[in-house]
Amino acid sequence: MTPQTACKMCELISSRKDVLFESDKTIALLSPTPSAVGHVVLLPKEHFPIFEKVPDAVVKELFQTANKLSIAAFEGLRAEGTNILVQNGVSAGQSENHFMLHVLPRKQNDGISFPWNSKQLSEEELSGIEAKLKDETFRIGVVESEKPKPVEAKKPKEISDEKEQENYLLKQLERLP
Amino acid sequence: MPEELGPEEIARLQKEQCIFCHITNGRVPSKKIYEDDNCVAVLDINPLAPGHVLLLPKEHYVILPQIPDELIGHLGFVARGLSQALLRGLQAEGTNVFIANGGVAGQRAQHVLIHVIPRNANDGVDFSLPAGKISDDDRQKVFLGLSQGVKKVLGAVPQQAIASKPAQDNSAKPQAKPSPDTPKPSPDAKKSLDDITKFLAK
Repeated sequence: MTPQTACKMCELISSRKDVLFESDKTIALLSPTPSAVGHVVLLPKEHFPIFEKVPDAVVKELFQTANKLSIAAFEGLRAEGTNILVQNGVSAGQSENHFMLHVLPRKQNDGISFPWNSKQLSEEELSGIEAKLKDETFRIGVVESEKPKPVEAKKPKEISDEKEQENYLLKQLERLP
Repeated sequence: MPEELGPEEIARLQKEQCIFCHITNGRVPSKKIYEDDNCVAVLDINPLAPGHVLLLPKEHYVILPQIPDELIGHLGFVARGLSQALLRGLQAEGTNVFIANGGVAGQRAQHVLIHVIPRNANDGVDFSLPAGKISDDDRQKVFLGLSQGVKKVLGAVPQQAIASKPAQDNSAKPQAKPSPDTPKPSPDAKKSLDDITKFLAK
């Protein structure tokens, strides 16, 4: 992986500011721009821009740690609830080019809300989506080695730098039958 | 509701009345898009966006802290796979993974649910996190409180992390310069965000 000298989160990690917990591969810090009291950002130490690039073992550890940080918020801040959030992609709200999980302690009337405007879909629409997704989910659980792999075996090529990522999905779609 | 129920009785009743347990055992129909021994993923019939997936453990757990580590890790692993399925199968531009622990956090069901939601620009869904500020004083209090919590749950915070350099040689971390000249996020960082958009675009 190329060093990400321009990555704000890599810099934050290096700064060791407000480190709450760290392991060999992960680190949890207070968010520098908290959206809630006790907002924690939990990141892989290695620079992965999006969820799909994070290796299996690191993903598992991140979720386990997020849960523990959530419990720590209950214990240490008397939180009444917690949210764990991933923003994967700019359209999903991702603001930094480094994968992270957010752990947000919650309390009654804390002024935070995630709007929940449910939609109604027809049976047909739902069935169509079901079919499309089933076509993809068979890949889950295909045994992968522990060593970090930027792409699965079935994907067309390895991604080695940011520039190539631009065309990654396009190329992948082009190669689908 | 009969009186004087023991905790086991309550748990049993909860399971019996849990619609999500009925979904996993097939008593209630659902659109399952993934299933393994430990968990199942179904389409939310009241989705925030088309393709909104609910990932749930087959075992009845009410909140995340009840779930054993191994299973939590597995759920994270599957969530990543579901996210990927949404990007590829529905050409989503991005995905959110969202967990609500507790009513005040938005938890509505009595069964742990992990939401995996496909995202696109202007889709009417919002999981943005406004950047807030906090005074140094408050920050310190929060840090202390959380540290105590972390200590209880995870053991002592490794204080040597503050002084030491990162252990891995092949990691992507920059060699930090502690000088005040530490560069601000450069235009490259912004470009990277643009790259993410294009990367995940159709």
